[in-house]
Amino acid sequence: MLSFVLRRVPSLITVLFVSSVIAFLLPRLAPGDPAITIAGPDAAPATVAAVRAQLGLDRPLPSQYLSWLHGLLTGDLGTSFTTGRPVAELIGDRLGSTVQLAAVAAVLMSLLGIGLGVLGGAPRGGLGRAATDALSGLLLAAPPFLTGLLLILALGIAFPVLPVSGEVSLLADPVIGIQYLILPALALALPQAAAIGRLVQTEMRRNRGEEFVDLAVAKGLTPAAITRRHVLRTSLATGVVAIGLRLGELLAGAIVIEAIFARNGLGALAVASMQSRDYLVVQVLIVTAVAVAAILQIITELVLAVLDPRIRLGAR
Amino acid sequence: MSSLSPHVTRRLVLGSGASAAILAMTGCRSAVGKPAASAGPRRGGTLQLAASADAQPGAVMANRAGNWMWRRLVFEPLAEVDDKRVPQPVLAKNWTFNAARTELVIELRDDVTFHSGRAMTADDVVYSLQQVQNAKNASQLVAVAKKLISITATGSHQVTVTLAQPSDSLFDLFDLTPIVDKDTFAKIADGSSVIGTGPFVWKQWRPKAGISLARNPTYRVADRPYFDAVEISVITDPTALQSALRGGNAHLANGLTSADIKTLRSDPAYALENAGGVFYPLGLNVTQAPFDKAEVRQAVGYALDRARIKTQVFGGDAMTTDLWWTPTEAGYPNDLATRYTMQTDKAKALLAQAGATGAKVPIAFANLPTMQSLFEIVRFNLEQIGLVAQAVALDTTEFDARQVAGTLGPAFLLLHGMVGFSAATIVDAMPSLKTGNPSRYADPRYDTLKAGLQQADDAGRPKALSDLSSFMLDAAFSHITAVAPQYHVRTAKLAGIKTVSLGSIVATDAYLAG
Repeated sequence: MLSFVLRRVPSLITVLFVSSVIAFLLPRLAPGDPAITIAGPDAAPATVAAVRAQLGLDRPLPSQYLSWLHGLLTGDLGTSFTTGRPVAELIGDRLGSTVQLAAVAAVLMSLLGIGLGVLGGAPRGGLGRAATDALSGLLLAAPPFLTGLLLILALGIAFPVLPVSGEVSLLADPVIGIQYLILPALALALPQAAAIGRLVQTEMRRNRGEEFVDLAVAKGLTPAAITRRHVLRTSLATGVVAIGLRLGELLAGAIVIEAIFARNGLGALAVASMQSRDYLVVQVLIVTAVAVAAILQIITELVLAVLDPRIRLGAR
Repeated sequence: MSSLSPHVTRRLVLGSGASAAILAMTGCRSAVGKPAASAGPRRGGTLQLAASADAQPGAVMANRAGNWMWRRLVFEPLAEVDDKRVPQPVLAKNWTFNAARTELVIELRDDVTFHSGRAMTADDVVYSLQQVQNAKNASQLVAVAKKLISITATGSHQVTVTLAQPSDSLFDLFDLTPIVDKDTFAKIADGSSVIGTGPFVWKQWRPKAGISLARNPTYRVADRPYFDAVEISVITDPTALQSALRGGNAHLANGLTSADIKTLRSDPAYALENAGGVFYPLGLNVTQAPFDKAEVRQAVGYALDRARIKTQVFGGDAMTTDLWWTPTEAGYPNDLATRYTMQTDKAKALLAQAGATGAKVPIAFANLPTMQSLFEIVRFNLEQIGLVAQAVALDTTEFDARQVAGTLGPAFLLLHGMVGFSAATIVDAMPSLKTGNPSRYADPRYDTLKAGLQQADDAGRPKALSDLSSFMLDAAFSHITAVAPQYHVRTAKLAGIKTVSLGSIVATDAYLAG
């Protein structure tokens, strides 16, 4: 396992280096200037030029990039142009919010996804199957922002049982914190869960036609035992791959969900920083997102190998 | 397993256990509990505000939307100009002009302390006014402040300012300028040291997320403020802003869309706070064809269907006028406010006379819903008279950058939240009109008329304003398309709150009523 991880290191470094170049250039390609945000649209060009010089934005791009890369490698992420605060502090303050949202959403996504898959993949009558197909189809079709708005209308405004705006950290107050998390996590998880459910359901239905299931039936096992012991386990590998891939999508979806539910996570920080052209914050967030996606991919491969003995980490 | 009765399945046990756990975890305390309210003013509680833009402590000297929710809670000005444009003292006790109105002696309150515990003195007032003169601090009134040729502490609680010429803008300057702590102002930009004299103390700034304020226990007004704390959340998404209000997580919000405001206006659970207003001018660059000819610029004025703009863009909640001044201005020339009533034939004739029929006109605007709707009507109107209007929709940041660089092109739609300033201040502060405006319009006669207005006394102001207005209407380098109010929306239970200084809120007397 260690050698497998070590073999992934060079490609991981390459990916991170390329993404650092893209992360540096992309925000600068967008029109606009952080100096305008600071000086204001009414400012004289000389005032804006002075602010640009103060921020170091008048230096050549390669010089700016190398300074940033050096800081990144030495743990100095720089200072936000628009707030004057260290980028590490800004990101650190928001990290907990996004991690909590993504973690709860990931748990819900996994449970609901596999649950929906089992419901759809278990032998049942035509009506039951049609109902589960319709439910997963509906969830699949509804994007997170729509699900979020419907949840806000239903459970936040029409029947106000859960908060729909803001957040309380789980670490500060778990009881209140979880209430703030339920609706955004659900909105984020439901469409992804439906997609995972579809994959698991298809795999389970396919596995039901395999000979080992016929053998289990012949042995006299109950349908529930066959589903649990034989069909589900062999079908889960597909679900695990899907969960691993969709963890990254959860983080992407968090940008929209954080905006709708007024949560102050990394997604909201990314949007606000891009709007004010706060380059250094955007750059670090992009590189971090790429690093998280790459690491999740490696972890998924490791989990897959544990679940399915046919997959060997050392295989080329 | 066998101990379970045939009717109590494992599934039932697991389900019941999970439900009980969830109930135990979430049912004890609810995050959607209603705050206690009372019939009259009551001490305690937290005022929850939702701001559509992040705070910019470094720009506290300027009027920025991100500072509206906290600026007047933490800081106070020397005076504020009321609805009738009469200055009322805040940190100043009183003031006296000399006969020529070129020297003003301000007596300060002697019971004011900063949140640091230090007493406010005349030196702090001198320092604060000097900061406005520094362009780095981004005040819209830098030109007004620069007219103060001396600002002197003539006593521990007395300040004397002198001007080369009388100015009608002084109290707009005093209203917009917060009195800051001279010892800590240099560290204000990163939010680490935001020290004012107001009813609330700056506790914590979570950039792009929110601000926490606490009650100032030594505030100079006894038993005020009522609230113990203020929590300001930055919510940039309009839908989330409305959810925060409706879900009870905000008592007051700014930056809601006009559609949401229209819906909430008819709901008795909410009330609108008038937060000044916005001028929407169509600027024309006099150095670029076809607007280098006055006839073409005037033709545009006659082409605009302001009544339609009022109805379709602002849902009827706007004022149609050709003037750049607030109608409450003393001497407001009503007879000139409709100079450019829509006359398509006259506009066509002017255009033909200038030989500009068929000219292509790119119009730049910030890509915001209101500006898009405004552009569509302007485009239709210009095409009616024979101009070919083209959209140049820009991201707000790029629009601002081009405005600063003076590269918006021959025509552009702007917005200025300056309803409430005096005309004398507006000519110096409004980007469309001030020296170095994006229309590149400059004329010594224009400067003379502006100076005449700023130096006029009460008796002479109507004529000065009329003369300047008439000249500007003829020059036609900027056409007002509408003047629309802007609102903060509050829950009806929030009482005692008021809005001043072009949108800033004051919560000294605010409380939650029953």
